[in-house]
Amino acid sequence: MRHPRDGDLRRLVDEEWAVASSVRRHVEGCTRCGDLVAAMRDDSMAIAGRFSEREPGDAVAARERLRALELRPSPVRRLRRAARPPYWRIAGFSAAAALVLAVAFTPIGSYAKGLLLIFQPKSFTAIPIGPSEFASSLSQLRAFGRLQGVTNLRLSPVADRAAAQTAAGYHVAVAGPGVPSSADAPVFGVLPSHTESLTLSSSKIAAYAAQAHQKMPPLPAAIDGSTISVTTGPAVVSVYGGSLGSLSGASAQLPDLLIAQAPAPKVYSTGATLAEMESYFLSTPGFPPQLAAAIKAIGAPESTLPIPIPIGQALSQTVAVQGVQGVAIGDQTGVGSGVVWQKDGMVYAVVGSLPQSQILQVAQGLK
Amino acid sequence: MTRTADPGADFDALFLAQWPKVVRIAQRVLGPGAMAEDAAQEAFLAFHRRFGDQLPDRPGPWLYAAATHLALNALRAEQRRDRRERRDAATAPAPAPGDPAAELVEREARDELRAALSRLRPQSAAILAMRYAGLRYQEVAQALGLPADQVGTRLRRAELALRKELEHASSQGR
Repeated sequence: MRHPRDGDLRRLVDEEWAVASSVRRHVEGCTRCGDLVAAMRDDSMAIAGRFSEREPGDAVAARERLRALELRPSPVRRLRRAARPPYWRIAGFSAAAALVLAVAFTPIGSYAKGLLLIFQPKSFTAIPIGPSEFASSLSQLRAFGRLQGVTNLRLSPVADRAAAQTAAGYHVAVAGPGVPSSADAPVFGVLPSHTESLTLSSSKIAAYAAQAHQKMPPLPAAIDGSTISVTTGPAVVSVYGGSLGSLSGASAQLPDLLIAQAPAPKVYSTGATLAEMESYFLSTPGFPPQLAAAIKAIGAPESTLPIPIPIGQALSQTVAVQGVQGVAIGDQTGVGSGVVWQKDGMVYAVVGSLPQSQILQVAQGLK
Repeated sequence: MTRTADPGADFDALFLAQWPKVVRIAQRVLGPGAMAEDAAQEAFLAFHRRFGDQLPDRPGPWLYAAATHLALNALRAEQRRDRRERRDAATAPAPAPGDPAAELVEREARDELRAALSRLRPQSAAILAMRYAGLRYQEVAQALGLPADQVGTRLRRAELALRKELEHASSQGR
């Protein structure tokens, strides 16, 4: 009599229901196959006993961490690079730089006609924040209503400064002579103008609250259905001592020097005022209390853009740049620094792995 | 798969549904520590980069294969690093001070298993990780691109290979 294949016998141990009844009958009447199945079962139990496991961590919290990770290099890569310099600090700083760029230089279009201009930054203020808090606050926006226009904008390389000016439609500032970082000519990239909007929805909030088992304050009727739009760009980025490709992705790293500029972002609303929105968002349970307190403390909220600074990783100070007030951010490990300011309706940022004094020197000499 | 109106919600739902399974697969390879959850996160990140919010019809097998692959890569990198460190130190790593005997034995058994897994053929290690994480034969077949009736045979071969590696390791006293 022909014996069944070992594979079928093995499956009998785990998924008896999936094995043909002829195989089962055979095993019942065949000592050789019966013994083999018993041996397989013993092996299987012995191996299962060697694997140790722990209850996987909370999935909702893991999902939030994943959102924050999208701004950082991959965890597995971080493990592999454990022996290298404090990469996570670069990541933390880059995340701060990315947020500055995201907030200050992302979208700006012109379809906002008829909307109420509720926010246009004239100055910046640094607020301390836990490294993942801002990302998780941003990720929660989806819970408040319908997000539109959120997309992964890509920097398009352009040949030179002249091409960047043509694409952006404004004067592109470059570092003055004697850039201390690198003799390389900069590479230029343009981020298109863009508009993102959030339409507040009480039903969305209720659905989120039910799904997340979280109590959310009711959305005031006056702002239910309001659409808030943020328009930014076009932004021009010039990179010295690095490439545009090195700015993002799992192997992101800070170049020697990066200069970014864009028209100041504008925030429009179809109904809700800034005070109403602020009051609502800051009262939601997911909003980090420290961040809420820092935002409430801002003197002129309609014109001050908060720049999140990772706690314990970066320090900020007010500095004079090009005759106006800016915010300088220095990484405590000396890995990178940056300065952001606004002048004549344009926002500028100079960021890089150079010492802060040199970054400020470049910012002063921008022309 | 039923699509909801909000494409981001599809990914959220997928994440919440598959997270425990994906972590368990990674734990079979990397043990119950933080590395396994890191590898699981990495698998979801890779999935999101690959598919965005347009989920494929069968996202599970893709995730299982990615998690296994990433966990095995991390394991091999760790084994290489351990070998280098041992060579540099010219001695076996000293146990942590105050490590209770039972914990020490458990840790050694875990290290032995991980070392044995890292020496198996990748497909054998993958099939063991998936099956012992509780995946059905059909799911293992889809994740590894095998005919379903091949899973039992290959699983048995992988088990025998693992047993041989473990026996060899204990006879060598490593």
